[in-house]
Amino acid sequence: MGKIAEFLKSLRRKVKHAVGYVYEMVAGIVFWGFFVFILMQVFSRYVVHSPLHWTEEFSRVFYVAMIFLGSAVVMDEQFRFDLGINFVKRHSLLGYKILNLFIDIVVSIVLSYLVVGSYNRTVSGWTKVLPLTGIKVAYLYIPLLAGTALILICTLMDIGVNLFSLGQKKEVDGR
Amino acid sequence: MMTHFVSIFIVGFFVTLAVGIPIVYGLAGVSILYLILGRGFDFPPDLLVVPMVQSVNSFILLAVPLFFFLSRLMNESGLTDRLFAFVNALVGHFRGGLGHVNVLISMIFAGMSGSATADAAGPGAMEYKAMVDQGYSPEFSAGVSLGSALIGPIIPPSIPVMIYAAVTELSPTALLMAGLVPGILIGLAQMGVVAYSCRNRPKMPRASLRTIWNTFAKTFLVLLTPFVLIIGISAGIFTATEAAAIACIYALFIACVVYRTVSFKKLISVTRGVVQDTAVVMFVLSTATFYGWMLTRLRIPVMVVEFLMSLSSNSFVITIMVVIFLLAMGCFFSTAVGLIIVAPIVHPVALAIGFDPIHFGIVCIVTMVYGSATPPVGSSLYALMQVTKLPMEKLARGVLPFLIVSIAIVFLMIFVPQISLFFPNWVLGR
Repeated sequence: MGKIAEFLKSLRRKVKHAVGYVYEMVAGIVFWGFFVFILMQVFSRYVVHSPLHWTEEFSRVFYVAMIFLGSAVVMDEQFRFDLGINFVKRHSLLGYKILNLFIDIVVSIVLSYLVVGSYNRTVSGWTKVLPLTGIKVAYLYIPLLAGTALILICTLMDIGVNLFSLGQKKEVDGR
Repeated sequence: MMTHFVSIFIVGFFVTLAVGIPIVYGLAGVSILYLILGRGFDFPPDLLVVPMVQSVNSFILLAVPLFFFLSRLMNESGLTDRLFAFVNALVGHFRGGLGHVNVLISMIFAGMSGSATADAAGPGAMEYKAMVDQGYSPEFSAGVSLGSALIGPIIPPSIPVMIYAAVTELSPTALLMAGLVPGILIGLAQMGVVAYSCRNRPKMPRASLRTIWNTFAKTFLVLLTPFVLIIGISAGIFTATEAAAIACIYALFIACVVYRTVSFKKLISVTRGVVQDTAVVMFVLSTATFYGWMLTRLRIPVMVVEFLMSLSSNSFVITIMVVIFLLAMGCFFSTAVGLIIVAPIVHPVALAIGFDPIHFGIVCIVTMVYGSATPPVGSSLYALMQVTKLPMEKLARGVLPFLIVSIAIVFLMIFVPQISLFFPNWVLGR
């Protein structure tokens, strides 16, 4: 059982590292794209005096993409109170593992809703376009789908790690 | 039935926090629970997803990554070192000179950065080291650095202001301008604390006019950045987002072309930091939007207003109660997260008691900002703990006098609204 937990833990780390790296790179490029569109907007409005309205729509699409791809990268740093969980940890390792399992299950349920919801919107958004740029609305939801899907996969692996390490006397935290 | 929903909603949120579920999933989880209870398991998950995307798809919030970029670029490029040399030459000879330098740099840096954590981790770290090297106690040095870092998000630009404006749909320009005078006042009050604490310290030799001029010449271009932002926004030339973009391109130009202190590698590191900073805050905002919508649907803000009105009919008393509540909230939530959660609740209070929402908003923002320096959850506190290696108790003790005078300024702001409203009323003709 312990070996499966260790394997899942290492697999999670590799998946998070590899996919997270790609997401981070794309999010970084998207940030610069967003920045360029904002500058084009300022330039067109104040220098050329002929505002390019489509630049704002582009910058928003890029901004949304940056947020949801970036959030998948920083998923382990999401803010949480660890007072309760640390209290349990001090008193019972098994209790701590069960609590961790419970947290991961709640997180995976939330993420499942977000993945299904963003998938539905991506599918339905394929036929709709944004008014100024003609970009498909689906592109607004694809980053959320990609981001939440990665977090969900990692959380499911965390559940596996916690589940297979329940009987062990040492702590094997997925994160 | 409604009361049951309200109880489940509020208790559920605190239970998720207590057991250690990350706040972002706690907010979404309680929202899902509400939907399941109201509509059964077959509600469309799109209901959650659409507000998530729409909430961050806002022009006001486009400024947030740009403000993060500006503060990170200033820190990475060593532009703050130049600022330090100039301000030290200017006020370093007073008693407690480096303490004054610390506060003054934070006030200038606040005009370029919208985040207290960026100030604590950048100039704060540098100033702390300089102060300890000159014989100041580590506790006092860290206290000044942490206290003055809080000015960062009060003087425009400000990330918390943009978030509050986006959530409450108030004018970001007016809110930004409303932070200027209180920010300066807080800085001056903190300089007063430095002067009192260092009254027995020896004076340092005064810098020559040539040194002042030389350091000024080296810093001049950096000093222009806050002016680009503040004058650009207050004169109505640019929106906050456009001004942020112009300030970013200006800072990039001086860092990459004029001073040549930013390499491609550093730029990648800045970009990574900006993406991560923005993603953390905005992901919480996106999940909190549905939560906020449900707060309104369950009439929780109305209940809060009615509850406060039942305690007192005096608007000042109600505002003080809100401030005390926010100070307590600030201990447990980071500034941005706290504002995202409380803004939909406290904004209707301002409207109900007849306070100017801009004035009330800036009071709430300033109060929540202080939370970033208080244990157990304070992002600036942790940033400075990493730098100084001081235990939390020592840092908290060091920052206490600075927090006390800063809170006193908030109470002054409550009773004298003109402190925050004078500047926006003047420049925007409100």
